[in-house]
Amino acid sequence: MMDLPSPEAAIPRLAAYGQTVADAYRAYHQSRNADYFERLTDAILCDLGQLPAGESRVRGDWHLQKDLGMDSIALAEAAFIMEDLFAVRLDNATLQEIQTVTDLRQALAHHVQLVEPMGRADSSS
Amino acid sequence: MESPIWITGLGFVSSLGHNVTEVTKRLRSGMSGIVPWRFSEERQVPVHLAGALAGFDTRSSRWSNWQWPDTFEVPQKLLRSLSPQGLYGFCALEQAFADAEWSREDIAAPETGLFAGSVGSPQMAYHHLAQMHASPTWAAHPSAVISSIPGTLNFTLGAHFGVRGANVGFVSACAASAHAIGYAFDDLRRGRLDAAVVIGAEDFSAESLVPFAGMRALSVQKDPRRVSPFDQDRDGFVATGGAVALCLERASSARKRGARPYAELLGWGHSADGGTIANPDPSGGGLARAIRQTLRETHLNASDVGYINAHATGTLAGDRAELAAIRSVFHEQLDNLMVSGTKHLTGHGLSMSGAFEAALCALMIRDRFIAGNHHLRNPDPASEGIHLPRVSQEFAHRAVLSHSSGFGGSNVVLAFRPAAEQG
Repeated sequence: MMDLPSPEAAIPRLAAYGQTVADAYRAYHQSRNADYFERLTDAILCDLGQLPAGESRVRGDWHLQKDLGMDSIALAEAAFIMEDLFAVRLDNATLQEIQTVTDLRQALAHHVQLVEPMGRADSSS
Repeated sequence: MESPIWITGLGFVSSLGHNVTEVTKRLRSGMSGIVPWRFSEERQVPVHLAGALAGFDTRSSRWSNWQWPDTFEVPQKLLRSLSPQGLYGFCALEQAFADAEWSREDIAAPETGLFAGSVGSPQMAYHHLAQMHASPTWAAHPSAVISSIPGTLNFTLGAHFGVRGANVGFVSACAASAHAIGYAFDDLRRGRLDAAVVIGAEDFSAESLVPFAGMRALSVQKDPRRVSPFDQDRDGFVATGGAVALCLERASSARKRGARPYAELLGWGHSADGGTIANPDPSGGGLARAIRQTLRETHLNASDVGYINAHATGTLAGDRAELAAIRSVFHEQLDNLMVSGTKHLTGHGLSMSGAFEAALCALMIRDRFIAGNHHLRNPDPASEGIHLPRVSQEFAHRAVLSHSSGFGGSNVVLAFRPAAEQG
């Protein structure tokens, strides 16, 4: 597995995203904790998509296009930045099958070594 | 009888200002939008002036670093896919739609089209391709294509506003947005559309503008008052960027809405020189054919034309060809004709200039004045007999022509007149 980019290297590349994304990356990089992993992916999805009215947290069963309003370019941008931050490669076939937030998290988690298994944050939503 | 086509809304992000009131005031008073400008702090760039955009800073290729006046609310989601010209274009379109009082439903109606003139964004292309080449796998940002290629203006903004009638772009260089107006007019006249918005926009960036110095087309003057097309001392053009939008619709529907017209768009004509890429036909023959075609199409006589807004970039070859074209068509009516350029005040907006000057003509018609050639001191002898007013003046408009010429010898002439309501 490739090393994750350091926050010093990654943060400038995150300049186009909100501060929440930069903060989440710093925390994730330090801990490799599943909770921070989800916070980071959620922050990116919130930045590229749009939370439905009245919602404050991303739900795992949400459809990226229908619920978060992400078009194909926003999805490609999510993959572009997440591949960079998690030092992974999502091939086109995998990307095409990703429909929901959970699909995306699982596709990434397949490649990412987390300190504890994913799912804790999701179970609360 | 066919209903006339009216210009009912305008929007500007320009060197003369970012709203109708400010642009009109500066155009009338001859307050230049050209300022001393350095495209690089480190390099000795042989360009000292530019038509800068006050309050906008889009030098960075990251949209998150861009600045714009807080009078504009730009959605973050839209910004991600934009080039600088897309940001200016959004601001100009918002103004024009508000000015024309078009609702979101009007804009997204199946009979409303968007016509753009642009050359794409060299700044974004350079940024994204450099990033791609730096990547070990040549990974390119997903917005690399849509924010940079010619067409970025129409497909980003057309999609954002939900335009459904037509969404097209024109790339005929400095004639591009004049072509956009012409073809929008044709679609309205043919009944394909009920309304059309035309947008011309150009990045204000080193990547778009400085390469013209390599063609020796840019002025090396340091004083904005020395920028003077048709003058013996002219030495090229000063560049600008920005965006200008015009709302066009049939008078019949505009009247029903109670909309007030700036002017009537009467028609247009075009031609090509059939010669070199960058140099116009020295005889002005190509532009003259476009003027004659416009007169035929609009059923005007040469004597009906009271004012021409000249292309007047300030290059020797361009100025001379344009003066020759005007002389050949209007030789017997020159006493009844006023000619001025506006690029000595605005800078040359390249692909945006056709829309920019069409909008300035609309303002001059509405407010009954013509802009002067404010910086003219020693007129080129080739202009002898052609009236080049030195200062702006009140004017009882008849028909007005606006010339645009671009690479490849492409010439476009647009014709306007006061709308019937304006008397």
